Amino acid sequence: MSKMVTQVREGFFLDSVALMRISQTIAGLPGVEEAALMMGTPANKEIMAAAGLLDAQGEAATGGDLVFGIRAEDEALAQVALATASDLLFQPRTSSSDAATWQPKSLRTALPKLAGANLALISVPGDFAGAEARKALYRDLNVMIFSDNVSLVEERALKAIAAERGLLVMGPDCGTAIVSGVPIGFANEVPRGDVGIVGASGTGIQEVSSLVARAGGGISHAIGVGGRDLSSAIEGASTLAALELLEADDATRHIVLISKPPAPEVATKVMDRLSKSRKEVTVCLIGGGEFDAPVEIRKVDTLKAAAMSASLNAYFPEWNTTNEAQSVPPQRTGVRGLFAGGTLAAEAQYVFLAAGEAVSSNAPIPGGARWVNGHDGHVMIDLGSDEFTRGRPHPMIDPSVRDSPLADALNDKMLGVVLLDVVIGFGAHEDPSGHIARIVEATDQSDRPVVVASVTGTDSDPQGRAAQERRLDAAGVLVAPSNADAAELALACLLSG
Amino acid sequence: MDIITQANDVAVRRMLTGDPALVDVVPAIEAIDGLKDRMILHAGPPVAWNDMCGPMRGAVTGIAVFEGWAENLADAEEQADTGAFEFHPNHHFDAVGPMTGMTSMSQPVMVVENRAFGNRAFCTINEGLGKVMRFGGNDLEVLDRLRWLRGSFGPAFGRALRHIGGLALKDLIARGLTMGDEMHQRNVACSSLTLRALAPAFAATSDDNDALSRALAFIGGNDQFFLNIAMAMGKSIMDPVRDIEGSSVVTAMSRNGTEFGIRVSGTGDQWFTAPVEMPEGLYFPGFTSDDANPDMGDSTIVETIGLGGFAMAASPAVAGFVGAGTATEAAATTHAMAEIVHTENPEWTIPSLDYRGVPTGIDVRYVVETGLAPTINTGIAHKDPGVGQVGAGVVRAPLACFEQAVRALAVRLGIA
Amino acid sequence: MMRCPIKEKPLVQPSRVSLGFEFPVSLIGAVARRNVERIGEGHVIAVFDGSFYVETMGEIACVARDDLGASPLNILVGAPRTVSWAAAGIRVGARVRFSRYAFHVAGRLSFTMAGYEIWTPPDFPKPVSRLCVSEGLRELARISRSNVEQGGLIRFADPAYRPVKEERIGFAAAAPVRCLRDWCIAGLRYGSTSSEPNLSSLGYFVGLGPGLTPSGSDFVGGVMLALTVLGATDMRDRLWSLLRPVVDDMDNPIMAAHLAAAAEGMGSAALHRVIDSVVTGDANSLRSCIHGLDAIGHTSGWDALAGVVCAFDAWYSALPLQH
Repeated sequence: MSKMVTQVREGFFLDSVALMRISQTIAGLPGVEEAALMMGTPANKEIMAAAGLLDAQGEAATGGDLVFGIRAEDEALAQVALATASDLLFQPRTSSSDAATWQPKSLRTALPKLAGANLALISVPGDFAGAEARKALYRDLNVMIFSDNVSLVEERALKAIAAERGLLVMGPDCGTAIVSGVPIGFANEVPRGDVGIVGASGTGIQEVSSLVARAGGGISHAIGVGGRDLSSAIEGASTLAALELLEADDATRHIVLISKPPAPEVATKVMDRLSKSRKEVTVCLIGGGEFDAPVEIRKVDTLKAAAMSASLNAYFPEWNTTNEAQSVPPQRTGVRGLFAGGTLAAEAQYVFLAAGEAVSSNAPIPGGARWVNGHDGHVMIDLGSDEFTRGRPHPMIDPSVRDSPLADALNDKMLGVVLLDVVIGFGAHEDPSGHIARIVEATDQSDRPVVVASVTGTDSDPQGRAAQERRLDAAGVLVAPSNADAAELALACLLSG
Repeated sequence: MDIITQANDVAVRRMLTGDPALVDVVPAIEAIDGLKDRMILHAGPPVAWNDMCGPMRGAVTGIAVFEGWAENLADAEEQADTGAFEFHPNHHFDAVGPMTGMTSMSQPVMVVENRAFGNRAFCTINEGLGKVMRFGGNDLEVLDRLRWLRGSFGPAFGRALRHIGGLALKDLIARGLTMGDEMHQRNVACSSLTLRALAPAFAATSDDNDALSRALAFIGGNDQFFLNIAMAMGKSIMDPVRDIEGSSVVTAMSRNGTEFGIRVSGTGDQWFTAPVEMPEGLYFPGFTSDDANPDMGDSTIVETIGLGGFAMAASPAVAGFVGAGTATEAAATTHAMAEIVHTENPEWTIPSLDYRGVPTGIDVRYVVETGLAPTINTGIAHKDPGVGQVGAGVVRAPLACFEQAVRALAVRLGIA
Repeated sequence: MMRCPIKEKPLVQPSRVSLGFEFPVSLIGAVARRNVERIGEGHVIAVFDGSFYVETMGEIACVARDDLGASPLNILVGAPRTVSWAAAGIRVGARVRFSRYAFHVAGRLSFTMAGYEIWTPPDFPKPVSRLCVSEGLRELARISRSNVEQGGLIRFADPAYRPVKEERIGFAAAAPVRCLRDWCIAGLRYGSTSSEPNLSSLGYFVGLGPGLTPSGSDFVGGVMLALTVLGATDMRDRLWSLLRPVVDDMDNPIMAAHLAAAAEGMGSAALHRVIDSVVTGDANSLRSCIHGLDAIGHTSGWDALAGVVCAFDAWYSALPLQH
């Protein structure tokens, strides 16, 4: 559906030749159906209204005001055209040295330098994130809040403002998004395509988008909503808003929703919305398998299954877990998972529980047990949780967070398998595999647990998936094509022992 | 539109429509309402004798001798201790003064009239470089120069100005900006333009060639001659901006060597103060930062109207001199100051920024929001009385003043 | 010691320092001249590459490079073709100060008025012959047909032109143009008081079309010029007295100033040259001077010409048929 935007410049006089030049440039932009720049006299407003180029704002213009009305195929294209028009109008004012040497320090001064901007990424200490997000929302910008430690009350308030203004709040604590092909935060270089993702989890979005890319598909948009969006306090505000956006997006064929188990009443609300969707829908609630979903919604339990469900040709590399398994001595009975990605830890727990294996974790999923130090048996540890990251960077940025737990595990005579994830992409460490490989290589190779890992990412990422896999392989690490496969391989190693 | 924005629109409109002209030079006692015997006006927010810094105390004792209130410096100090002098800020008397900012009854003051609003502002005549009272100098050489200004130069300057019906300042500043002045630490262009405009009038109104020659040589030999004119101009522009209900625009910034103070339009005559900071900059040979006194003077009125540090981009030569980076980095200071103001001045433009106007109308809210404190180009005084200027540099206004002002304004508007 | 007497009268009046750049004024239009004759202050209200508009106490003048041509509002100045006033730092809001011999902009640019020419339009009315006008109008219709890409209202110079709905401006203009023409015919045939122009249609029309001065206002300006040439100043004045309040309401002082000049019988020099050629029926001269209109904005000159044609055509139709 085409979209119209208008802008009014009070008392702005432009000579007719410049005006025509700008009109013609705008009319020639991609997706622009019609454009007009005219003085806001009654006659001109009538003509613009008849052409579908005038809204209430334009209607309020007077004869001394310049009105631009632009109608384009979609909102984004219309905004681009409007921004171009503004740029052309103010060309004499833009100083090239400005852009090169001065970075604006506030939204107020930044916005005029990037006309048409529609998204603000906020990464400030949590106490201030709410205030900055409000400023952005009141300037009609969508918001991605990287910051954590934003209160639930504040989150709820921000999302209410966004709803009122037809905007989207991604986060708080949202680390990953891909908007119109632009990766933001921790994200992977994936082709544009027809799969849209809404996710409460960053690594979940990364794993699914990378696997879709690996199967030859691509991503239209991947929208992070923050870990608490589906709680009963927030009621899925951003999830529902994101679903609306993907629903209206012609480029999106299939919608994937990734979440931890939601509050039951919120699940009902979201499923209700999804059941009305005209698109294919896959829902992946890791570990929250038991919920009522209408038949038209595909329900999956792992990120890998979600990616396969969304992929058209569903090509995944030939992979046979049993063939790849290495046997472990019978006295080595435990599996220790050390994860940088929280959702990847959850997915591994699910795989174990589904296979009838008891598992504990510092971030247990339903059915799993809470891990206490010294606990034996299978343990999946999320190294990104607060107890490991307080005062230091996230393990995706600084893999040394995993060094000492990994060394301990490799020397643990009770462990049969050490299970790892390697998350690459923008924002991640430049060589996480190399880091792991050096520690593995430094241990006694004759008497250590089998090490199993998978790489989340693509070959187009700066680190390169294949290169990362080769480095692990060279260190004697078994490499699985996905995190779920890695968990299954860990189990297979134990069973073959 | 919200009340604050509306009020600030009014505030900057008053700033931009101001039409200041230097019209006369007269004894302070005649010009300044309420000034009297044994009263000393000083720079900055109010400060008691006991709290005054070294240079300020030096200047006070010097001016007491100059006015004949004391036999010598020691006598002056003794009298000050017993409360013989009344101290007030210049700003409370339509006046401003550089560094120590001494204004007393018999000194000649320059009169700048804001013709758009009819108000007047006053500032003493710049004494030149070297050992001078504004930097706390108080020996015979300093006092003799002041006596010459009072007895000869001041009256001649006044005659010349009356002769030509006053010197319009707004266009002169516009020209000066294109010639590399920022009107705080660099005034060589404006001083020269002033001399060019006034020399014929000095000649036409003089009957003493020696005195004429000395007067013209004094202006010609003092690159900072125009600074005090720019300051009186700043005061005359900002005074009509006071007391606009709801406005968050700064109407004065000033320091007394102990505290930095600001006034805001929407909070009337209240000073918001915080301990003044040490300037960072370059020192004259033989001096170091150990010798420096904390920042001082009413000259920050120049920044308040968008010049000085705010116009750094116009004056790349100053950037190096005050230690604000390379000449090419000067633009960054002006860009930064543009973040904390309401608008830019369409008449005072900077060629190297494609004629972008100087940042105008400091908004206390934006200062607090961005954490960008106003950048001030300043001279550095020796911390001991009687020594004088030891360097020049850049100082930031303390953020605490602006935080207090935002809170006070919020209380006043009932939104705290 | 030599003593100089204190002089009673000042030798010089340099109360203002001399400014940066100076440009000589070469020509001032009759309306703009009233502006510069006053000593006072104004502001820049619009800036283009080759020209900028100045408002002084409610009056408008346009300072333009001399290659842009004479017009009642123009102050032509000798400046290089490469000058861009915007790049030279002239900003909307900059102060303009007029003194007797010069005016100063933004405190940096001076425009000296030593020996300038004053432009006034050619004298009217002139004897107008039916034959010549008919020849001139025919040529203009041809030109209009060969300029269909031009845009604006010039196509109305072709009597066969019937705008379709998709030509939004033309379509909206059709009824007001007909209305104006009918009123001109009635007035020219039976006297100015014989009928009233439709005010609501006219008010709508002056604000119609793109550009700083909407096409409709240029058209109406052209009608008023042609009425002056035809000696029908009573009708012109009637039209302007009705239109003026509507124009004042539109909050576009530049458009209002152009219309007010037209109401005094003054348009751009290029348009007056075209009108001369129409009146003398000289098709060759017409063809050679018509592109002078291009310098006046994008379509403004051509839109005004369409208004001229409308009035002349009405005059032609109002004449009793001769056998």
